Amino acid sequence: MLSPNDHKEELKEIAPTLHIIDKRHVFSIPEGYFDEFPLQVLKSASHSNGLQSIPDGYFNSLPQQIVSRIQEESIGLESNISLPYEAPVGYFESLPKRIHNKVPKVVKMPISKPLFKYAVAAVVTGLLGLFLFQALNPKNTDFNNSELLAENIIKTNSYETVLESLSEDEIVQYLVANGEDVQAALVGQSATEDQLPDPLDYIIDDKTLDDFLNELNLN
Amino acid sequence: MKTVLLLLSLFVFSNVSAQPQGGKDRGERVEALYIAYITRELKLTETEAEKFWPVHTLYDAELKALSKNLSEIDRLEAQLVIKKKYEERFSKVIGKERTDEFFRKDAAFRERLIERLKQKRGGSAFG
Repeated sequence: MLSPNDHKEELKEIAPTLHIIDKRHVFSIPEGYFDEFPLQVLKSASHSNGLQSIPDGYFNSLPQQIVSRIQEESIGLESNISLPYEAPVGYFESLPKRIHNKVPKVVKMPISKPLFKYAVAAVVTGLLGLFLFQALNPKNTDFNNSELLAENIIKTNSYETVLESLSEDEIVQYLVANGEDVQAALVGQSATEDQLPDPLDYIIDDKTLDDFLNELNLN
Repeated sequence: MKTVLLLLSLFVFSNVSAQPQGGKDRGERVEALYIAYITRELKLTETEAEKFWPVHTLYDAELKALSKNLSEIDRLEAQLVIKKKYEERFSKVIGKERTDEFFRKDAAFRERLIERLKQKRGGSAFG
């Protein structure tokens, strides 16, 4: 940042004449100058513009003067200025009624038909929704039915009875659906340890294994 | 109007005819037996059952979604992964011990079905 002395040096270089002028007020105002200033302005203004005084009651008679002037200068105008259009007596009082009479009659639509259509549309939509729900959620329906049956089985304690009443198809269908290899499972269950031939039998008779498989119906 | 009624009739007919012909054909009785068996064996309360069966539905769906083309080893491995995944979820509902019991009873139910099938086929594995 430049110091005051630096500013002076810079000004001296740029504008030597300006640098010479002392730093003081050039103009001086006489004492009380602004106290009389408004009056002086008014005086000078009235003298220079030549303002005239307005006669008393000038604006009171001005409208009449303007109207009489217009009447004098207008050609073909009647002495009394009147509106170009006249409304008959009581015109606006009877206007709403006349408009109402001219408006064509509104035809009322029967309500029953749209309601019936809406009702039919609602029924169709409902049935469609129900159908889609059932179609897209077969598992839920299955489970709900199974759940109801299960409740009944538990209540009546009929587990063994229902198990015995199951058909082969039902059992096989269930097992296959649950990823069970039914044939392999049957063989596996048949070949329990106590049913297996004695290890010595294999040594004594070469046909032991074949015989055993024949028993299981694998050949 | 006649068109609407005709469409409505066709729709209702198709909807009714699309319904399954009975629970028996869809294995609902076996499913019901399974639910009853598991509920009885695990002694599920009503509150537990409300939470347990929705989890089981997801578990069952994942097991059934396994590809049929998997080899036996891959299938068993995939089943094990799913069982381990659901072990935690079941445990949150019925506890760890009863979850173990559930897996045992689940297998036992199938064994009983196979046994029953074998009996129906007169003791032969192939009927």
